[in-house]
Amino acid sequence: MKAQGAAEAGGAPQVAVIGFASQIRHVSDGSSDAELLAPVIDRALAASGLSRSDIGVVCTASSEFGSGIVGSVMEVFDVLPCWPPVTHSHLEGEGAFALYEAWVRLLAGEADAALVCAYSRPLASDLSALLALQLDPYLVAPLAPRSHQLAALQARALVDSGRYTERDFATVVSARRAGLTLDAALAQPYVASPLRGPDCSTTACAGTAAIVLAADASASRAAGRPAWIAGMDHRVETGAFGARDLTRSASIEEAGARLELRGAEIDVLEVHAPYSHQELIVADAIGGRIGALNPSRGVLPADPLGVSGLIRIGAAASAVSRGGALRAVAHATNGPCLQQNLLCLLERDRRGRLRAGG
Amino acid sequence: MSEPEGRGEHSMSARVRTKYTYEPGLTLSRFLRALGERRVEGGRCPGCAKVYVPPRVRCPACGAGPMTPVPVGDRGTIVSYTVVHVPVAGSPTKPPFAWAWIRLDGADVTFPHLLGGVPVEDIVVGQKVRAVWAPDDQLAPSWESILHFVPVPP
Amino acid sequence: MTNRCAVVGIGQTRHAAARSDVSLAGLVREAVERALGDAGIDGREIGAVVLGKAPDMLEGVMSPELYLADAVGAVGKPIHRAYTSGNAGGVAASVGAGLITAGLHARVLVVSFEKQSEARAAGSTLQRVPFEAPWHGGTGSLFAAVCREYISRSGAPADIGDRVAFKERQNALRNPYAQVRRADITLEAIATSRMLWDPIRFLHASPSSDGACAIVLADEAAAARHARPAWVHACAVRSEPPVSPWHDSVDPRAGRDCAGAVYGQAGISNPIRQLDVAELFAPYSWMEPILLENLGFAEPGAGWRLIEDGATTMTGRLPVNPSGGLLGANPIGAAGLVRFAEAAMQVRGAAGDHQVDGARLAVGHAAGGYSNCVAMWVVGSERP
Repeated sequence: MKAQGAAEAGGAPQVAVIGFASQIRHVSDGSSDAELLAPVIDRALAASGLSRSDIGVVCTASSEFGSGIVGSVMEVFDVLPCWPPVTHSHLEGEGAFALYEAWVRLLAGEADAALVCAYSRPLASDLSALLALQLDPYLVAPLAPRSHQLAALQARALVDSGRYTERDFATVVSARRAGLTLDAALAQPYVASPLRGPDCSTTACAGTAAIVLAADASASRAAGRPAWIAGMDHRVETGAFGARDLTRSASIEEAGARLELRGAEIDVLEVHAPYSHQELIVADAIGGRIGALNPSRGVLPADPLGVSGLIRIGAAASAVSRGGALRAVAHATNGPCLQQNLLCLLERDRRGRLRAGG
Repeated sequence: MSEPEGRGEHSMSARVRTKYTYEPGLTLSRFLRALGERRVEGGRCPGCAKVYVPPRVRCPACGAGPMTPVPVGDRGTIVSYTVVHVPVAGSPTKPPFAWAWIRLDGADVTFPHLLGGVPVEDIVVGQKVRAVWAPDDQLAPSWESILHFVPVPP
Repeated sequence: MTNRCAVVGIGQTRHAAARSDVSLAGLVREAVERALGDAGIDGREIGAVVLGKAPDMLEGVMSPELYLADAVGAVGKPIHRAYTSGNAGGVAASVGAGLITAGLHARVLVVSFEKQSEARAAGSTLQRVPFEAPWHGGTGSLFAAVCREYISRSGAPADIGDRVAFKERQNALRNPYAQVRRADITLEAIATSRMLWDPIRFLHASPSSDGACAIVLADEAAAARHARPAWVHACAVRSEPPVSPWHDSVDPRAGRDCAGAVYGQAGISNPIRQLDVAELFAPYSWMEPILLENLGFAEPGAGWRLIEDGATTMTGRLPVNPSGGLLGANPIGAAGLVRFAEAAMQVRGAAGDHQVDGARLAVGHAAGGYSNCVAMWVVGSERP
């Protein structure tokens, strides 16, 4: 549990995903956040081969604003391995960023193993309306744009640029949503032109995810094959979305460059795209030679806001640890129109960590 | 650098109305239903045998669960308390009133609830208390099925 | 710690009940510009930004790091949100220090703010009856119950809370950033002020404040350019479940373990003797003796004696809160970072009128939740 120092054979410590579990529900059975999270933590720990007492860092994420409960993390302490006290932090937002923080803490030597959890019940409120509160509170939020409308601005810009058409969006939709043909997708009415219903992710009732991270010594005790985090980087763009080019993602291009992904072989890419057109923007911005894109189907069919990014990382890690992939990349996003983006590079073989920083 | 002291020239109010659906959860719901029947049902940890009122989803100390329902009486002890002179806005109870952390006999943790039926100056840490239940027509799956706790003679 | 980390720039806003002269971005920018100016660097040299913020609902802005990305100079960089609970400011500093220690960035900007005057969100903290018991006392009364329990256990005299409050308020007079700076508050006025939640009186309590704080952290190579960095000797964050048979709100293990962790990292075996200054997160004056015991400065039950002896005044053995602490200003999420920053200011000799002479090793502390979430750091004028 205590810090072990930087030097291991091979240089700086490296961290791996050694356990992952998630659950998405479309119907509530009356379970609380803690009741939804408990079995997912159990499964992730079981998959990792570590026990509760091995965990020295716990990083959690949820949306208090979405649940309406100030200090909601207090309710889930029951199910977190926080006794005796450990390094614990909670962030308001997307779980993938809690994983980034846990990764940093392990690299800094604070502990040998971390548990990362995210939980969300997006239908507890009108989250699409509440997301408007992420915008400039003086100039934009009072206009109360709904999240589909903002995304549609971006989709419209993409169509107007001539690079993609609504048919391309429908191609993504039919690939991700089972049983929906391309023509059937195109026949759906607009919710916010040019976006149709199926172009927008289906908000799940509830979602939870847990990932176990381990630095070298603990990773060697993993029950399964570790998926090594070869690098991770995240960047944010301006909050004034009218001031950026919505048809491309400068932040993903930057993060991808630091991870040396352009032109690289990527066996699996998991993209956190709550809107079909965004999958195209993200894949273009990464620019790798992609084997399989969203083999998990991504978030279009089921989107537990705040957990979806963490699930992408888990899915990419699973592709490496169980699916035979040599290299997988997971993408996570936060904010309107892909304002903030995180890329996580996972590999089967442990190597020196890429310097993703600056 | 000079410090501007003035107030902003313009201000506007933008209302945000939102409805939230709260789920007490399965574990707490069971506990609340029991309160509606004038029963206190705690949870015993299958790992370390500690009794929690209200029951928790998992034992925060050892991680075991789910908890075994176990009847707990409605008498206990004041572990700590305070007298509220300035309550939160919207509080239905007129100040000054007291609330306390109460550990029921047989339980290993405390919970907060109102104290009543006693002048606030006469409350002391360590006092024995018992629940005052709501009348039949006010019973419901709710913490308010207990109106408050009142000190009992030692 | 692998890579050493130092504080090379500090900035704070003038904390006030309502900073209606600036927008949210303006408030944050004020602190950021001061920190960058103090560090003598351009914002472009910052590699990453960490934003610490307590409940978003208090301003009505969700994930404010998104809207504030421009104001803090984070566009094109990583911006990380830190929260947890009332210890958000301290957690933000620990994330920033981790980024340096892990070798990911050479310079990190840590910012924390609160602008509660912008929203009326009192409803967000109401009791959720029928799922919770209807005690309707509010957060302050939670602290009051802890203080009542402390008094009962320790036998502390009734005037201890008054004496600490008087000390804090006298100290605040020498802090240009403090919100409440009133020379007319006497010990008598404190002792007879309105009772809020027994035993906490009005003048024992912190105000509600708008404010922001920013610090620039640097690795060893970058710190070499600066004249008087405050070296981070230790940093730790600890949380425990708020409800458990072993949770003791008066002496929480999370606090004890966090203190033990930072003292261990910093090589401190006798905190009251080896530390020169403490900036502690005490939203109510009665919390000071409680924290002195919990954080190892006094034996259990003896914290109040340090106050009676005057040990925690500016001229005592261990000045506590020379800045005036939270009674001077309490911009909720930022208050933790302010404690960390004030500790750093002391060991840099940069605390102006509230400088403790010869301060070389200081501790900063932040806490939240039900006293179950704690963050601390130890900073020193010498490289560790």
